[in-house]
Formats: sequence, structure tokens, C-alpha cells
Amino acid sequence: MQEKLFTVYKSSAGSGKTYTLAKSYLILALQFPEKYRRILAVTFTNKATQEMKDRIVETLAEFSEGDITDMGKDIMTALAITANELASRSAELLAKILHNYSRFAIQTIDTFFQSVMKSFSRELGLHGDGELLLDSSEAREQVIDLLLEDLNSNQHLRDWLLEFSTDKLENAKSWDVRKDILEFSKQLTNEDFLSIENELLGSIKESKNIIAYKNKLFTITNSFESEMVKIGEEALKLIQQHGLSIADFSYGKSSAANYFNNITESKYEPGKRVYEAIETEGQKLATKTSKRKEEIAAVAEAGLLSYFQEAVSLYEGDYKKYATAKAILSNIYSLGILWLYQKRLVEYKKEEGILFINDATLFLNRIIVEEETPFVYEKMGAFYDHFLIDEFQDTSAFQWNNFKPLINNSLDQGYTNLVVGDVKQSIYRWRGGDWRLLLNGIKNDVRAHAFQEQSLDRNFRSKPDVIDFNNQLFEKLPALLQQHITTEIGDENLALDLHDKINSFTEAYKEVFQQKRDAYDAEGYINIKFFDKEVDDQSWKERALAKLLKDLQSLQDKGIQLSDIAILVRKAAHGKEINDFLLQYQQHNDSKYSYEVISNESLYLSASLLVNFILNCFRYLYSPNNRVALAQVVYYYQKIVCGNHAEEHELLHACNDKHDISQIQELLPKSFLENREDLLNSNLLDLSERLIQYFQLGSQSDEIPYLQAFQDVLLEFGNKGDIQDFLEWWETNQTKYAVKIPESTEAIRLLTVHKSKGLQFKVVLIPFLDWPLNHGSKGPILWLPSAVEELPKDIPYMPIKHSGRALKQSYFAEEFWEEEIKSYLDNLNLLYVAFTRAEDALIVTGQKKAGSKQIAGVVENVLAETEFWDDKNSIYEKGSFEFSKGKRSDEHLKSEAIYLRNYPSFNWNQKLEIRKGKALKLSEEKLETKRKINVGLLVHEVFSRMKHITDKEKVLQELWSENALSQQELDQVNELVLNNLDKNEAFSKWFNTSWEVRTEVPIVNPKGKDIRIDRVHINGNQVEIIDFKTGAKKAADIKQVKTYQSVLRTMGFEKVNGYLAYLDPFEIVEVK
Amino acid sequence: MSSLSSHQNNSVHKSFLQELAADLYGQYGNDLSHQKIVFPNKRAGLFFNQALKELVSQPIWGPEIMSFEELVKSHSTLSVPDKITLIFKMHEVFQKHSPFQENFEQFFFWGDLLIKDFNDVDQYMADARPLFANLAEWKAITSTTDFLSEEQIALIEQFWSNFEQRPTEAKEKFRKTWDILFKVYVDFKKELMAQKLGYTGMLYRQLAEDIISGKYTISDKLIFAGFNALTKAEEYIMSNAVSNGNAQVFWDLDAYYAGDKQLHQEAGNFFRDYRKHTILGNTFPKDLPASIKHETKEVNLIEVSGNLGQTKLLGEQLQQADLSNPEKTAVILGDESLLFSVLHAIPEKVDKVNVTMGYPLKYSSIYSLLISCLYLQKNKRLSKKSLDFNHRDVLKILKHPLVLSFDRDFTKAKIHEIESTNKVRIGLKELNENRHELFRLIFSDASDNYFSYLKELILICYPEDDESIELGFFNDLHAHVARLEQIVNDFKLSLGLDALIRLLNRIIQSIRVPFSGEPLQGLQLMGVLESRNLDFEEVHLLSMNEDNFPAKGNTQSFIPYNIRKAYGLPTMDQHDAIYAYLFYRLLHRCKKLNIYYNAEGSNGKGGEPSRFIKQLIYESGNTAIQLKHKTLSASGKVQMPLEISIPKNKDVKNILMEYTVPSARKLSASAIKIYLDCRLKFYYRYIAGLKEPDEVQEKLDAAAFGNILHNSLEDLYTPFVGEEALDKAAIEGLKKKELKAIVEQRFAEEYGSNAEDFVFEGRNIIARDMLLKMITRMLDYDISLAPIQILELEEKDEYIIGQAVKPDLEVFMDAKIDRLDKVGNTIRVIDYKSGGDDLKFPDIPSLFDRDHNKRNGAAMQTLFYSYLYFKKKGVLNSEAIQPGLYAGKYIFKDDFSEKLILKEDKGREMPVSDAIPFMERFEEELNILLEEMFASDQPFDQTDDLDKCKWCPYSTICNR
Ligand code: SF4
Repeated sequence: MQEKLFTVYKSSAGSGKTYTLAKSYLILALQFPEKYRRILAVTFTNKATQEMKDRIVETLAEFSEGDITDMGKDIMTALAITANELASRSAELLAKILHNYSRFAIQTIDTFFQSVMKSFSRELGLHGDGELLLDSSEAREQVIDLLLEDLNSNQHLRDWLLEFSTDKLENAKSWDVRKDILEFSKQLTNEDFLSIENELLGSIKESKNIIAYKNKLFTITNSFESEMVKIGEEALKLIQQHGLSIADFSYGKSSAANYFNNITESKYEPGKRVYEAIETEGQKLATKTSKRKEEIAAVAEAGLLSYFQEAVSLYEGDYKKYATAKAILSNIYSLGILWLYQKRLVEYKKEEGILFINDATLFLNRIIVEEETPFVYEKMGAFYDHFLIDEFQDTSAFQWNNFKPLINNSLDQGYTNLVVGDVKQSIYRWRGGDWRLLLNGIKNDVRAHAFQEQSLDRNFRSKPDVIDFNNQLFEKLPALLQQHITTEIGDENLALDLHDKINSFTEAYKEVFQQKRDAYDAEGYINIKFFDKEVDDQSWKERALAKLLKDLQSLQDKGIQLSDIAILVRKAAHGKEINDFLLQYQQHNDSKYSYEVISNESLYLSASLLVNFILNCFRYLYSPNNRVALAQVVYYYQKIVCGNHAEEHELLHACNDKHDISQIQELLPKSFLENREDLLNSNLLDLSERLIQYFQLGSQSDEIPYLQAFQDVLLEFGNKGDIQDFLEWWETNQTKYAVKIPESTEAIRLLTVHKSKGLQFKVVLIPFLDWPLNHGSKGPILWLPSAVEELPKDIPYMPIKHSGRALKQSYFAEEFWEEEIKSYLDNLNLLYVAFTRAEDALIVTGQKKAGSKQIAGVVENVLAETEFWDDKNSIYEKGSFEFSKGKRSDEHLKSEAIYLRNYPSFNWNQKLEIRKGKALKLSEEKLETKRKINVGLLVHEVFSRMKHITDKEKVLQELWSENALSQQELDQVNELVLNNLDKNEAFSKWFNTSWEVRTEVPIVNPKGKDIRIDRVHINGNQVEIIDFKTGAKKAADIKQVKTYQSVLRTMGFEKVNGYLAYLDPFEIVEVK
Repeated sequence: MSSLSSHQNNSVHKSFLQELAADLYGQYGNDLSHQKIVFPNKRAGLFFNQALKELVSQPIWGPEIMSFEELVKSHSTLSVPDKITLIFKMHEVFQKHSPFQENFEQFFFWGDLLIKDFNDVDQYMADARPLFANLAEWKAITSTTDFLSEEQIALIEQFWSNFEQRPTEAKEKFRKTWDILFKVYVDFKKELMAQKLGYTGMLYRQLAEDIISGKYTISDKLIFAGFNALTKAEEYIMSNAVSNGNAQVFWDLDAYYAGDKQLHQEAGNFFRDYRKHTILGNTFPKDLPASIKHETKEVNLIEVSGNLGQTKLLGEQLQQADLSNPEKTAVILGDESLLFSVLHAIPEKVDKVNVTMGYPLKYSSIYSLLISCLYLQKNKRLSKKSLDFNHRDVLKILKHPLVLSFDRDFTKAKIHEIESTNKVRIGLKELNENRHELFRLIFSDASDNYFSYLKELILICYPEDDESIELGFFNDLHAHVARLEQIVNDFKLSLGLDALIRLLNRIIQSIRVPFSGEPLQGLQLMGVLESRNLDFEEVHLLSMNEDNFPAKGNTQSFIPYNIRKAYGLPTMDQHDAIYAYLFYRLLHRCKKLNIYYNAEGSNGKGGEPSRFIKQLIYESGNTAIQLKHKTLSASGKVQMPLEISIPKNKDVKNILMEYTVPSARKLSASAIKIYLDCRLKFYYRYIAGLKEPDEVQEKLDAAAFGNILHNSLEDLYTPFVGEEALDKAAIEGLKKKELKAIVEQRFAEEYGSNAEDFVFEGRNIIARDMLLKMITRMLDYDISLAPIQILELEEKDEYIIGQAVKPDLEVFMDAKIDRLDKVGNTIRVIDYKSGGDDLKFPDIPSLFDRDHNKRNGAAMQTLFYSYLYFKKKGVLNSEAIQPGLYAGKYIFKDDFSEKLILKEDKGREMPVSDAIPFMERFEEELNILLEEMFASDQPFDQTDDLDKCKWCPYSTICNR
């Protein structure tokens, strides 16, 4: 059998993915010493890259010390080597890696692609030094501003924006659309759009084509609507003519006859009573007891029935087309805006020489796919035989396209490759991850003979009960969801078309069942509790929080350390809620329990009083009318920094604009008030340092971590703008910044499920199991092929928002469901990731009977069928609330913790002695003279450098290149030099002397200052010294030369002649 | 050794330069001045002289000290022009051969890169002919020559084998360029030679070749000291001088990495090579120093989250350190952008600091001003008569510190004016009021000569202060602009403004301005490269992360990797090895090394500790190095919002009592609304009197939008107040004729401008169109109700009512009703709402129940107005009072109605057609509220509902 070179490891949660990767890497790298240079391991984040590097280096260090672990044994078998051999090879490899670290190719996918792109930038016609933006938002904002400036001249854009605004207003949002366009433009950087971009934009060509397209669609919708209305109105008239009203029909307002009212109000879908009316030929239009039975029969006869038929057949025939056109029309303005935006963007990128990160991936498609792999390596200067790709479920289609040729090339040469991934843990689809690749795409893309799949099916993470629980739950859920969605689709044909997609649930979860290890010291604990939506004015969430508190107490009673506990939430906002809740209990620290929590949410910089204070200083300095900012500044400074006990009212009232700033002088530091204006001139970081100094903010030791992190933000912001720019920027970006707490801190972890991926905790608490299975009303924009059936084909793709009932009835139904299925799977995966983080215990609370669209609802459904379900209390409980005593690894604890006690900030201007600027000494002169290059200085420069007249040309040349002189200036200098030489014979003789000449000679003088003399002529114990001067004569000049003379005498020269050579006006003075 | 000063007695070691000085002074005594001492950089000379000074008792001539490059230059007839000139000349040559055209600006980066490549070729004395051969030529060459080793041939063949296969796009492009490189190389050198110019590699190669061929000898007495990586040319020159007996070489190295067996230690790669060199080999001592292994040193590895933390921690460490001899301590910055933070963190007791590093010119404020001005020029619009600019450019410039400081009042007023009127284009005449030359210059049309524009700018802004740190920036920038101008003029280059901006950016990008002071005094602060040859007792190394140390090398080159390798040109490996040496060298003689690194990634940088940290961790085991790990921890206290509660003390009460005086304050609906939202907010606004900051709005905000809506509707209906009822046709007429003019007028007023001058631009257009659409819709609705009789519009002081809260306490209230009209027998109390206000409310008590989650402020407001109307005016029996909202959220709905809707929890929706039946209950609730406000001791405290704080202008004080 041929060896399978390409292995896909399907790694369920806790199955030792990192272990497998590290082992595979080492088996390859330990084959021979230089092999490691030819292995590329790719991860998704910098953090993962570092972890993998560390892991490999640590393992090698262990092996080389003879500490052969299980992994070591596996490697020994794989390579057929002895333990000694392993140790020595490891030592060698370790040294190689550490000392050729740039060749230790474990990289993020972006880094790798960037380096390929860089090496081809000339061939790609890129600016060689173009900037690659990881975050496109600022560039996008700029482009939008440019776009809005075009409004005057662009009527189309105005119309589209107006439509957009109206749409927003009706949804009770602000009419201002700038933010929305920004959000929308972000979607234009994703691959779904990029892959159709050329075709789409190519088909549009001009704005007016969109209008034409729109008009065609309008014709379709209009004709449908007016025909329907016509039928409706005529039918209603008929009813009226017969002296009847809708109320006379059976079911009154919801009677079949009311359908005619409906269709005049754009509700076209016929109900079952309408169909019934047609089928029964109007039999049931009136109740049996109706007094007006006869008249109703008559009106049915007289044409009402045929109106029913007409309407229904129109509906059945054209509604789908109509609904599709409607869906397109309701989004067409976004296409219009996008079209203009994208045009602008292209120009902008070119002008600024920037690329977005996705552009890079796209460019590489051109290079890698087109070129033979070896040439790619040649250009890169790196050569890889093996590829190891981690987290493959998060790889995007473009990225995979770039890897494909490289991997196939490797396979062709008989090298092994592997990818590791788990569809079940794919929760980054919104960032471009495409799990379909892992599920089946990849199989078709690599050489078939080389392909094999392997399941890592043993769980090393969790206790047996946890494993059993997850096995059970996740074996059942996919089928259940599959069933749900099939029911929802309803239409059997459609369901059949979508068969493969629907099956992806069970496909993805096929190998969910995990094996256990051989022995355990504890069984684990599961507790899933569902609360009624609301009881006694208490919502389920309030109860869940109360339970959370109790659970945290019992956990501590059991001796669990805080850092072993994690609270997972779906959304950051929930984290804040929980955090605020626990905060209340932290304050009453009389109890024996601790509720210290760390999370990104808890330590937001924007929550810091001190940061807030600095921001208010900024605001106040920038606009002194801002008395609210001033009030905060005063309040904080007086109350918190100075500990003033004055009444609050006194402080706050003093800050209103009826008081002049001079009236509250004593409330602020003098230095601050004095420097108010001046402060505006310094850059933001400097400004913050000065505020720290003036207000003695370093004394706020509790807030130092915030201050430090905030100053990092200012540093990062750099010179991007002034105070106002910063404040605006901060407004939108503040939520990205929080104090980072070292891993070793003893506190409960509070994090989102997304962030928890790849981590594990002894105890996992999920207080709010409350996410929906689909997007609800927040559907994404999909790029759908719009040239369907009889619809106009002008524009091949349209942005369609994934929401709404109407979409299900349109030609987009299939795509609608496809996305729906994907979003179900996303949310199921989130559940999988969340539940599999637990080692020992999983404690969850959710709402009872949340319904089949809610994750809690489906989980409850599954659990209700199991033996551990207690229906009365709506709780699933299994295992024992006892925990293994094993400690977490204390790796980082061997590092000594140090703290910043003060926050040093000082004025440094006095400490620096700055060398003064040289060539252009302009400050003393008036502006007029500033405009001339100081030729005199250059002449001086020539004389002090030139030893001999023959050096002149070269010296001039040097000056020319150093000072960027024009030919004219150079001539001018030359002329002046010659002029001076002409003037005085003694002077010109110096440059023809036969004595030894030294220029700019240093004298090492142990007794005093070092000396540097412009020019010295030496002949035995005779010496001449010359000092050139540009300025006017000064008494000090002579004194200086005299000092030189005396120093030279102490050096043993007998005859020391000193001269001062003034160049402008020319004069030579001998110093006696 | 009696001459050693006390300075050295308390130090374990002499520094490398002290040892060198002692050695040389021992050898040459006062004759030392006849030696030329060559160091890798010139700075070492200063420290060398200092060391020398400590040795001598009488003044002596100092030796001439130079860098290798200066040595080479002094023996060459060529001189090296500046970079721009070189690239320009390269461009000329390249264009002659290139099959496609590139303009100078596009070529700039590539030209620079190509010169670097040529420089490598010459520095490493590679034979350019075979190197730049193409496939066919290569085949011819290999069959005739045998000067390449098999290994070299294999590398080259590997490369060319790619071209045996099918041609592809990139390969073709590569080949096209490659094919001309040899010609470009030859011509470029020829061109330069003709003008007695050369790039540095050319000078080196020429000198080395002349020496080898015997054409030239360096007769200077040379001392080479402290070198590590030598280029081939340097190696020839040096070894030739040694073999002639004209030179001595001193190496600064340690057995820890340079030893024979330490093959893996990249820091010693070069030394091991030179030790095998037939001539240079003899210049090494037999036994290499081994201080890293044997001398006790403390090395602290300090993990910090972020950048600033490192500098502040450094500050604390320095605070605690003994700094009686500050020059023995060095702070070395892996990331030079931390310079100013470090300066700020240096404790007061350090009174002198010497900074030796380049500061990037691109960060200077003058540069940012120049670029802003060029953008201003780029975006200017020039019509026959007028010149105007884009507001963003203008604002950026006006706010620039350099400009702001010229005429602060004028500038600030201008900024305010521009921002508050939402102007997009700004005409020249608006900016010309100020007579200052700077403004006249900046806001002019510089199209005919951008260079003089820039130069003038630099000169006008030139700092008055002679000591200014910025001085160097101005000088350098001036020089570069001048040089560029000269080239453009000399060669009649046509350079568009876009290209000029990009070119300037490119040029300035890499330029660093030295920033050096009195070098021998004070705490030493430097970049990594500046630390060469220097020794310190204690070293603080900041930002020790991969990407910084070793710095990221640029791997781009016209010459592919394998070819570089085959011809011995340097690659990334050499680059890394040089940094490794720089790192270990610091360990030679220090007693304590503190290494700080950022554990946190940001901006795409990884936060990965430098490889050298890892090397120490895994390898320093058998040395005397004492390694300690430390982590800068944050005692991350969660920040609590401030609890603020203002008691009603005497002062507060006095202010409150103003509401009980009819002529003083009146309580309004919005005040009540605010009080219900949050008592403290009411306090801030009405008692403390803190006005919401009316920050200059760059964009039209919701409030302004609302104002224009109100005002326009007022204008529309004002002519009809008290007149006959308006019929459909009359309202229809309003829609047609005046609407647009009125809205535009009101728009202009909102921005404090008059209508003729106001230009609709940017988002204002959308806002205006939106308003038109909304008002039209409201008029349409009015038409559907017509006839309507307009009774009052925004009447002031009409509804002042005193409400007796307690027998002796009467509170005065007032209403300002947007529109009071009459439709049939119904008096309508109408309020316009542009935002998302709702029509539904559960019941009357809910309107005053601050904790009710469906409390409807807008409903309360209109009912409050209705109440005041009812109290003041009363009604006839047949009349009804109907509060109503013209609400933006609903107005576009087909079935719009302005009526409030009463909807109890699960009850039906009941439109309120008459408010009179609710009045009694309303009064009760209102009284309870007023009592709390004015007659109780209820302090002004904070709301429990954090949602209320989200949009509260005072949240900054509450820290919520
Ligand atoms: S921030 Fe919140 S608590 Fe403070 S005044 Fe505003 S609404 Fe009240």
C-alpha cells in the first residue's frame, strides 16, 4: 500500500490537537539537522504561533535533558531511534532553532502570505514599500468622507442616500447614514464579495445602468401590484353592489372574502380559506346559519369566485418573481452607494499606496496559482517541503487556494503534509473561515492517492461524566436541528435540493463521540437548569444570576481556586452584566467568599476615573466652554486626588459658565492653569505626561494600570491627529482597550465563547444559555446571483439582506435557507465549544421552554429525554460535586511579580544638552536673510577641511553632496574661496606649505576641556595654529587662540604662532 | 598601573575602549597621533579619547579617528553624492534599458533597492558578469569557466532550472528586468565615474582592487578596532594593511559565542571565519576572553504588558539605582519610538541625559505640516476668479501646533467658524483676513513652484529658540527639499503634485535626525546600533521583542536568494548574526542587564520575546549568569463608578426656590423628564447650571435636525395663526411654493449664516432632502385632516401656571407648545418629533414612575401641555383636547395617526382622542412629583438604570 502523505486530523475538543501538531512537527524535524528549515507550520493567531513555538522548544529541551515523555517514545518509534539518539538530536535541533530563529517557520497565515507577496511586489506592479493595512476602517472612513463631498454633483448618490436615510428613519434610527455605509463597506472586504467583485463591477459600468435596472424591476412589481389591486377593488365593488360587507361572510374579518381587502393592502398570500372557497365553489363562504346565505351564493356566482381564481392564479404564477424583484429593489440603493464607493476606494488605495490584507490574499491567488511552486520559493528565499496547517476550519477559500498548489507540489515530491481542524469548532465564519473545506472541499483538492483522514477520538481534557454528557448531547442535537430545519423549509422539493446542506449537521458531527482515557480520579459534574421566563416578578436571568452566586460559593467551599473557574458568555454585553452583578458582592467583602473576576469587559479603560479625567482635561483644554468637562476635572482633582471634604455642590456649582475661570483658581493646580495654552502645542503623549505631573496623578496607585494602558493608546495613536481627532477616534475605539491582566492572577475568568476557544477550565459556568439559532433580524448581506428566471439580467449579483419572510417565497429561497442552515450550525458550534471547555464541571442555566429557535430550547428538548432529567425542577444533574485536587500548572508563577508603586513622570527638557543645528544657522537673522543659504559658513567649511590647495575640488564636491547645493551655489562658494586666497599671500601660502598639516586636530587634554583646532602646521618643534572665523571680530577669539598656544607649549613646542583668519570681511590677525 | 584613576578602581573591568587606549598608549606613547584609528562608527572615538585622557598626564595630539567609510573615502578620488541624486541617476540609466516606462517617483523605491544590490555586489566583490547572466548567457559561461565552486553552480542551476519550464507571467516579468541589470550596472557605474562620483560600494571595490593589483597602497598606520562583520572589500583592505605591517586589529569578542566549538552561536560566525583567515587569523589572541561564562552577572528578564509600562518601570528602577556615575548606565531602546516616554520617566535625580540615536524625521511636526499643506494644495479648487480649499485640509492646518501658535485667536475663531457652519469648501477670501505672512503663504496657490512653497514654509516656521530640539528637523528637511528641487530643475523633471507628495514621503520615510548632545556625560540613552564598542556596568534593554531585536531585516532584492548565496552576498542570516553579536557584546563587561519585553501583541506585532531571551533561558545554564524572571503585574482593581448624591443643603434649596417666584424660573416638561430620568442629572443641569457642552458639531446632530424641523414648520404656518381654517388647497400650496426656501433659510440660521451665503454640501444635502421629505409628509397628513385652524405656534409665557404643592409653596410651570390647532371640535396639542419617540403609553401613573420600563416621556410632555392648556384656558363642553405627536418614526407609515395610544399591559390599543378625562389623575401624579422635588429632603441621587447614563452628557462626572 502506498503511504498516505496528506493527513487530515479531525480533532474534536480536548483531543490533543496541539500535542499532535507538535509531535508531527518533531517527527519531521528530527529526521536530520537542517530539516526544520523546510517545514512550515501555519496558525491563525500570533498567540497560537507563539504557543506552538514555545511548546516545541520546551519539548526539545526536555528531550535533550533525557526527559523522554510519551511523545518522546512515539517519536522514537516513528524514527526508529534510541533514547540517546533522541536526546542528542533534540539538543542539536534545539541549538539550531534558537540560533537560526528566523528559519523556524511557524507563522500566522497572514505573515506567510505577506512575505510571499513582498517577494513578488515588483512583478505584481506594487509599490515596493506599499503599506498593508490590517485594519481597513480608517481608510474606509476617509473614502466615505470623500464620497460625501461628491454629493453636490452626484444626483444618483443623493437619491440613494436619501432612500437609505428614509429606510433608517422608519426603523427608528438616526437618519445619518455615514456609520451605516462604513459598516456596509466592511462587508466589501470579505471574500464573498471579492470573488464576484470584478464581474459585478464590470457589469455596472455607470450609475445610470443601475437606474435602468431598477426601472425594469419596478415595471415588474408595479404590474403585479396593480393587477392585484384591480382584482381586489373590483371584487370588493361586486360585494358592495350586492349589498354585502365582509362581515357578512363566514369568519368575518378573517374570511376568504377579506382576501380582497388584503390584496389592496399589498398582502398577497392567499390563506387556506381562499383555496377552500375555490375548491368548494363558494360553499363555505357563508355560515350555514347566515341570514344572507343566498346573497352570498349569488355574489359568488356573479363573479366573486372567478375573482378568487384570478387572484390566486396571478399569485401562483407571478408572486415569486414579484417577491424577488421586491427583495432586490429594497436593497438596490446599497448597490448604488457601493458602486460609487468602490470606485473611489480603488483610486484612494492607488494614491495612498495601500493594500488591505484581503487584497494580498487575492494577489497571491494570481501568483501562486499561476507560477510553479519552486519559483515562488526562489523568490521568497525560503523552501518548504512540508506544510502543517492548524485550525483548518477557520481557513478561507482564498487562503486555501493559495496553499493548494504548494501542498500538491510537496505531495508530488513525496513529502508529508497535514492539516488539523474540527468543523464542530468552527465559530469564525464571519471572519471568512469556511468549514466546508474541511468537511469535504479539501478531499477533492489534493492528490487523491495521498489523502487520508484520521480522527483524534480520545478526550484528554474532561472527566468521564462530562465526556459522556457531551457525547450524548451532541450526538442527538444535529439530527434534531436537521429535522427542525426540514420542517421549517416545508417545501419538499426545496428540502430535497438542499439535502446536502441540511445533512451537514450530521456530517459535521459524525465523529463527535469521544473515547475516554483509562483512569480518572473524579467523575465530573453536570448541572443544567432551566428557569421559567418570569415568576414573581423575577426574570429567569435574575434567577440565573442568583444561582451563579450560590454556585460560586459552593465551588469555593469545595476548595476550587478562582483561576480554575470560567464564566462563559455569548456576547460581551452579557459579560458586563455579570461583571456588574458580581461587583456588588465584591464590595461587601465581609463574607468569606471572593468574586474577583477578570475579563476584558471589567477592565475597560473607559471605566477608569483617571482616564476619564485625562480625557476631560483634553476636552477642556480644547474647548474651554466645556464646563461639564471642567466640572469633572475639578471634582476628581479635589475629591479624589486632594481628598478635599468640601460639599460637592460647592465644587460643581463653581464650574458653571456663570463663573470665570479665575474664580475657581484655587481648585486647580497653578501649573495647569498657567500652561493651559501652551499644553495645546504638545503632542498627546507629552500632554498626558504633563498632566500627570501637574495633577500628581502618579499618586493614584489603584489606577496606575489604567494610566499605563491609556498612555499606550496615546503612543499608538501617535501623530495621527490633534486632541479633537483623538477624542473622536476614542469615541469609536474605546471598547477595544482594556487593562491586560497577567495570566497568573487569581480570579475568575469571564470571557466570551469565541475567546474561550482553545482554552480549558476546571469549572465552566454558563449562566445565560440564551442565544438564538439563527440571525433573527440581524441578518448579514448576501451577494446573490440576481439574474434568475425571467428577471432582468443587467446586473449579475445583488446585495440582499438575509431576513424576512418574503425572501423565502422568492427565487432566493434556496440561498436563504442555505444561510439559515449555516447560521444554525454556527450556533450549534458555539454550544459545542462552550460545553467542551469544561474539565471537571459544567454548570449552565437557561430559560425554560425557550422554543425551537433558541439554543436553550433545543438543549432542553434533548435533555428531557434522558434519564438524568428531573422534569419537576427542569434540571439535568449528573455526577458528583467533588473535584480532583490536581493543581494547575504553575508555569508562570516562578516569575517574580513586581509592581509599579509610583508612576514616574518628569520634565526632561533641562536634562538634555542638544547639539545645535549646523549648516543653517538662521534664527538670529531676519526672515529676509534666512532665505539665503549661508555661504559664509560653507567657505569656512572649505578652509577648515582643505589641507592643500589640491584638495579644493574634492572638498567642494563633498560639500556639494552633503549640503544639497545647487551648481550655482557651488560656484559661488568656489569663487569666494579663490577670492580669499587671492587676497592675502600669507594666507594662500598656508595651503601650499611643506610643513605637516593637520586639520580639525583634537588634543587630548587631561587638565581641561578637549581642544579641536581648525588647522595646524608642524615643523619639528615649531608650530602654527590657525582658527577660521565667520562672524565679526570678538575679544574672546584672541583669548581662545591664546589658550591653544599655551596648551601647545606644554606639549613641548617651542615656537607657537597663532593666527585668526576672519573670512567676512577678510582679515588675518596674528595672535602674539 | 598607578596612573589609573579612582574611576576604574571600583569597576571590575576596563571597558573595551579603555583596554584599547591603554594598549595603544603603552605601545606608542605620545606618538599615538600618527596612528589612524578606525572604528565601526565614529562615536566610539569620543569614548576612546576619554579613555586616553585618563591615561595621560600632559596634553597630547589625539590620534585621527575615523570610520571605515571615511578611511575608504580618504583614499578615493570619487565622492558619494546623496541618495536622491544617486537614485535619480539610476533612474536615467535604467530608463535607457528598460522595456517599459516608470516615472521617477514610481521608480524611487526600486532604484534605491537596486543601488543597494549593486552596493552589495561591489562590497562583496562579486563578479557581476556571471552574476547578472541570464539563462542563455549562464549556459555559455558555465561551459567555459571553472571559477565557481560546485556548490555555487548547484545553487545557480537550481535557480535557472525554473526557466527551463513554461514561461509564466511573473517569470516573464522577472526576466525582462533581469535581462537588463548587467547593462544597467555597467552603465550606471560608468556614468558616475565620469562625474567622479560613486556609491559607497564602488569606492570600496575600487580601493580593494587597486590594492590587490598593487596599483595602490595605503601607507597610513592603521588601528582597526571593534569590528565584527566585514564585507569582502573591507576584509581585503584590512588584511592587506595587516600583511604590510601597517595595521593592527583589535577584536571585541568572547569565547561564549566565538569559540571554536560554539558553531551554533551565530554571533560568532564572522569571528570564526576571520580566525581561519591566513592573515587576519593572526590578529586574534590565542585565548579568547571568557567573561560571559565566568563572571557573575545578573540578568533580569522582565515581562511587561505594553510599552509605556516598560518605560515607567525603568524609571522606578533608575530611581532605586545608585546613579552617582550615571554614564556607567545605559538605556538601549529596541523600539526607538519609545524615546520620549523614556525621557519622561527618567527620575529627577538624573540631571543629565545623553541621547544618541536618530529620531525619525517623519514624526517631526514641521514635516506633518508640510504634508498637510501639500494635501491642501492638492485638493484646492481653482476657478477663474477664486481659489478655495477643502475644509478638512484647512482645519488640519489651522489646528496644527505650529500654525496655531502664530495667531491663536484668529486661528481658533476660524476653526470655530468653519466647524460650526459645516462648510465643505473654504474660499481664499475667508482665510485672508489675517495678515500674517504664514497664512498668506499657506493659503495661496503654489502651483508654479511647490518647492519654494515648502522652503518658505520651513523658514517661516523656523524655531526662534536656538536650543530647540526641532532645529535639526528643520535643517534636514530644508536640505532635502532643496536637493529635490535642484534635481527637478537641473533635469527638467516633470513631477505632478501627487508624485511629489509620494516622493517626499518616500524620501523622508527612512531619514533619522541625529539627536546628540554632550556625549560623555549623564545617563546614556541610545538605539541598538549606537551601542557598538561601548561598555556599561548596567544596561537596560527595552522592547526586547522579535521584530525589534533583531530588527526586521528587509529581504527584498532584485537578486534572488540562491544567486545571492552563490556569490556570497549577504542574506537575512548575516543580518541576524550581526544583531546577535550586538546583543552578546553587551554582556561582555556589564554587571547587570535588565531586559524588558512586551508580552502583548499590538498592531500586528506579535509580542513575542526576542530569540536572545530564549537563548539565554536555555543555554546560560553553565555560565555564571544569574537569570531572574520578573513580571510587571497590575493590581487590576475594577473601577467603580462614583457614587454621587447631592443633599438639599441651604445653597441648593435657595436655587430650588427660584421656581416658586413667578418672575424667576419655570419648570418645563423637559426638566420634569430629566428629573424622572435621573435626579442627579436634573441637579447638574438646573441646579449646578452645567450646560451641556455645545461642542462644535462637525456633523449635523439630531438636535439641530430637530430644530430645523420645528422652525420650518413654524415658519410655514405662522401666517395663518388666528386666521380662518386652512383648507386642503391652502396647505397643498404651502408644500409647493415656500417649503424648500424656508427649510434652507432655517438651515442656514442653524449654522449662524444667511441663506445666500450658505452652500449645501456633503451630508447637509442629505439632511435637507430628508427634512423636505419629512415635512412634505407632515403637510400631506395635515391635508388629510383639513380644514385645520391654527391657533398658536410655539407661544411663549402663555401657560405659566402656579401649582400649589403645599399651602405656602407654589411652583411655577410653563409650556411651549409646538402647535396648537383646531380640527373640528378638537383642540390639538401637537409636538413634532424627529426621532424615535413612541406613541404608546400604559397608563397615567406610568408617566411619572421613574422605574417603569415603558415610561413615555413624549406622552408625558404633550399631556403636560394639554394639562396646562386645560388649566389656563379651559374648554367648552363640546370641545376635546387631543395631544399628538408628529413622530418621525411613524410619519412615513401609511396608516399614520398622531394620537397617543393607551395600551395597558395586555390590553387593547386605545387611541386618545380626548385628554380631558385623564386630567384629574394627571394632576395627582404631578403633585406627588412636585412635592418630592420641592418639599422633601430627597437628595439628588443617581439613577439605577444604567441605560439612562448612556446618552447622558454628565456621565463623565458620574463615571458611568
Ligand atoms: S450619568 Fe447617569 S447617574 Fe449620572 S447624571 Fe447622568 S443619568 Fe444620572
